Amino acid sequence: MNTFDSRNELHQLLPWYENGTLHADENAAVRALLATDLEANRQRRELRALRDTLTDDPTLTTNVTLNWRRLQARMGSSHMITYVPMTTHWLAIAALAFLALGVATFYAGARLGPYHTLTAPDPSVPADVELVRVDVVASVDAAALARLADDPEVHVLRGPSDHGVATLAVPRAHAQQVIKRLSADPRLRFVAPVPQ
Amino acid sequence: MQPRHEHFRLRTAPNNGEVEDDFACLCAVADGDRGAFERLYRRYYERLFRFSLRVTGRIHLVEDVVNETMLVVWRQAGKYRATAAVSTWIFGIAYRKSLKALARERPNTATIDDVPEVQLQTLDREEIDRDQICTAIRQAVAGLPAEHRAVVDLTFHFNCSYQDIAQILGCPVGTVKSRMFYARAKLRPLLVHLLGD
Repeated sequence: MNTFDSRNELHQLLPWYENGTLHADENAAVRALLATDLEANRQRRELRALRDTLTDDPTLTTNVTLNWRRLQARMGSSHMITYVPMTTHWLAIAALAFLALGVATFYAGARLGPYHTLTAPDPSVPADVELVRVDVVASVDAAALARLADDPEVHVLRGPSDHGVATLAVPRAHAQQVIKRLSADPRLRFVAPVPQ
Repeated sequence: MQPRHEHFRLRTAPNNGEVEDDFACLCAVADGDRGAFERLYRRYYERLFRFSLRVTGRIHLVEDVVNETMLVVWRQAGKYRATAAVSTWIFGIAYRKSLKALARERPNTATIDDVPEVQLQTLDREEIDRDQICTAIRQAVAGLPAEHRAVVDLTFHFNCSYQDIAQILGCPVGTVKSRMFYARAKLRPLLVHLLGD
């Protein structure tokens, strides 16, 4: 450090000028300041007084040997703590979090109970009945859907849901005609037999 | 291990021989040498005791702080990387242990703004003798927040450079200078009185 931004910066170095720990260039700059600056000299006198007060310390009474024995008892037989890199900690934490997530997901699924997929056959449906899944517009309710099927033997088993999905039970003998009729209606976006 | 920054040395170390011996001791401690550790313990005990006492201001905390500090030295000597002198490394550990002990003792630590400036102007100068003012100065230093007190004590009692202090306290050198500035501002009325200015 060869230059100093301001006298204030040099004033800040005065405590360490007093204890003799400044580098040579800093020391020279502070010495030059003290040759011309009354305020710096006043601060230096204060710092000397502070140093003299603090170094005039009462004698401490403490038993080194006793405390060494206490420490020895705590040191035990082992020496170094095995150093475990932080990445190992993070990997262990991630593994535990993953395991906890898996367990939580498993038990959450168990609580929800069994559910039907689009392809799962309903075991309660007789063999001579075909299940037909349809997707209808919002204005079509179950009664309207039954009317659209135009077959007294067609029943709406489920739906329409909030998303417009409904399942119809259709006599297998009429299934193709009913599917064809419903597919022709613009209020139905999707009509298909449920795979058995 | 080789010391890379020779200038980072506590001025409390009386000579280079002791600094080199500190380093040799720490290498032996890293290898589990209890004899070397005892030498290091006895060499540092009083300095750490005084330092911790000045940072915490609580005599009943100090022995535990010193032993906690040296236990860390014993267990982590192998992690010392010589980016600072051994003494600076040990004092840094002692500083953190002191602050922790102080926080357990007194969770709500005061800031420098909470410390009132000492005023003696209400008394005649003749009524207060020098010893009383010195005692008042020591009490005023003891009343500073631990971070500011550490800067003042490391400077004037342990003769540390501001770079050493920054390493021990784990803060920038600018912070060391500003803490010294504010501490001096708080102590100024007493010092003015002491000097009779």
